[in-house]
Amino acid sequence: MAIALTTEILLVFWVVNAIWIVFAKKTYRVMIFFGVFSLITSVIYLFLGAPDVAMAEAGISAFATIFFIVCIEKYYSRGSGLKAEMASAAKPRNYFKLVAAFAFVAMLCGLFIFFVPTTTEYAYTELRDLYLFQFMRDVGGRNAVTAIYLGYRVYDTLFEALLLVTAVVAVIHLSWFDRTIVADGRHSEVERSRMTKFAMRIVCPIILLFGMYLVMNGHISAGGGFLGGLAFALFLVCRFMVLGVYDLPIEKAMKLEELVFINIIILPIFAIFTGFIYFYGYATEMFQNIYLIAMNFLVGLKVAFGFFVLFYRYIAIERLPDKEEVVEAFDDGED
Amino acid sequence: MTVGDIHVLEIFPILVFFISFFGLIISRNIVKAIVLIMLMQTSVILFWLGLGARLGNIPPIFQDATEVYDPNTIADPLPQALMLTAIIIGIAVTAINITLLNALFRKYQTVDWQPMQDLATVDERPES
Amino acid sequence: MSVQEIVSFIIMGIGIAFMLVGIIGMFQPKKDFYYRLLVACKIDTIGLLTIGIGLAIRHGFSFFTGKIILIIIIIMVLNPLVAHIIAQAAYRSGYVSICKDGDSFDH
Repeated sequence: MAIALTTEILLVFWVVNAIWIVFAKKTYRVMIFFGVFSLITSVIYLFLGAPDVAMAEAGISAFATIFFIVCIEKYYSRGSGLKAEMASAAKPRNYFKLVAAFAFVAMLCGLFIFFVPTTTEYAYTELRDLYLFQFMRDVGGRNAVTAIYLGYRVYDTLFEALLLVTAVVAVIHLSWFDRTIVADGRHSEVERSRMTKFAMRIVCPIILLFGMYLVMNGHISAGGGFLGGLAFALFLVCRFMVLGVYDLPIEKAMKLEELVFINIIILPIFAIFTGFIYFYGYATEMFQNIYLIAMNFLVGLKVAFGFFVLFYRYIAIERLPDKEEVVEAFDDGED
Repeated sequence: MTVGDIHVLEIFPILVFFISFFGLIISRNIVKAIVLIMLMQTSVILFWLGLGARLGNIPPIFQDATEVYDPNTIADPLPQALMLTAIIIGIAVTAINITLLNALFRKYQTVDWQPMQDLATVDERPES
Repeated sequence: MSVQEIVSFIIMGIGIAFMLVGIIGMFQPKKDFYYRLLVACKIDTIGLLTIGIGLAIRHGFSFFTGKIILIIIIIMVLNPLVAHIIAQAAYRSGYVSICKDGDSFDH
């Protein structure tokens, strides 16, 4: 009962946050409201019995907020973005269009709420029962979520890894890798204070330890490859941003990511055809656990390198070139 | 936890989805549009999780292999596994969106839809 | 209810009271950014620490308590650090604190 009441209050505040985001004038406020929104979502996931998804949401929202703030900071520092934002906020709105849009959306929402049959029954209980009561024999481990995304539906994970590779390649090709000037020293630009460096020297190993804990216990408790990978990426980012240690160049990280992706493809095929999983009589618990831990570790490395490359592109390399350079580059591209 | 015949965990995600849709229609800022797309994705994820779980359900993690549980008190693991991958894909899509925004900002020096569209039509006009 | 539980509830209540005082302090009118940051950081750290200690007492000597103690140590290191970084960033980007009588701090 307490959980239900808490969740109702949180859901109301969730919707209010969404309305604030829609009607916020300044983009920095949008980011603050987005952080609160993600926090509330994560708590609701936890109340729904989904700790894996809750932890993924929390970590992802931290990364997304940093991406957005760096992006906003870029165009605010140039000034024209800020001017355009102020001008667009000061422009009088066309209230007829506003009311028309509201009526259209309200009509669609009403259609969804009143004509889509909502029910209090559980959906698809047969599949749920199959997964819940057979996963220990089929795939092994104690966590049904891990058993599904590494055993029953492992090809989904393969395609998810492929999508991450595609995203990294797309980001690198769309951004301005050739046009940016990267010094050989490759340190973070901001000089941190001694206090920050000292504290991060204590905290960085703890982050790495936490990531290893998540990966190694992914099959028997909440956690797994994605969350461990996020922790690994945070470790690399902290080392680069605060301590200024840069011994993993971006090219090497990309190569490693592709290598890990090939391993992610090979390992499940090997496991399925040699009977580590799915062949009930032959797979002992030890082999199942080895498969799960190895697969979690590979997924973690994959996510870590992918996010490190994305983060590094945004924070460290990508700088705004001068205006003449922009024009010149676009002329080159159009030829 | 129901209001009348309707499940609260299905109503609120639908509301947030359409609020975000409304914001996408009326807002002129591209950064806000990217955030609103993330909001729509989050609401869809919560809707899916709400289909297979009720509030206060225990997670699908069994510390004791021999104990027998009532399946209606356990959250459905299939939506959780699918949504875990959906979240990672969502952040990848967001990263690509932000990169596209950066490229647009370098070309047009604005983050507003309307001036950007005007500038683009000026660019595409044939030289007479 | 055992003595252990009563003691833990009292300590957790003290922590929540600290956080309440902090929230009231955050919304004081006519205060500048640094004042709010100071209040928020101090009360946040103390409140979380107190609630963590209460939870540790409630659960007795177990693996769970070890995790809570680790979290408390990380909060003790990281929470003041975050406030330090925010204040440093505000100072670097040119924010000058204004006192009540109109003087500005010259750092």
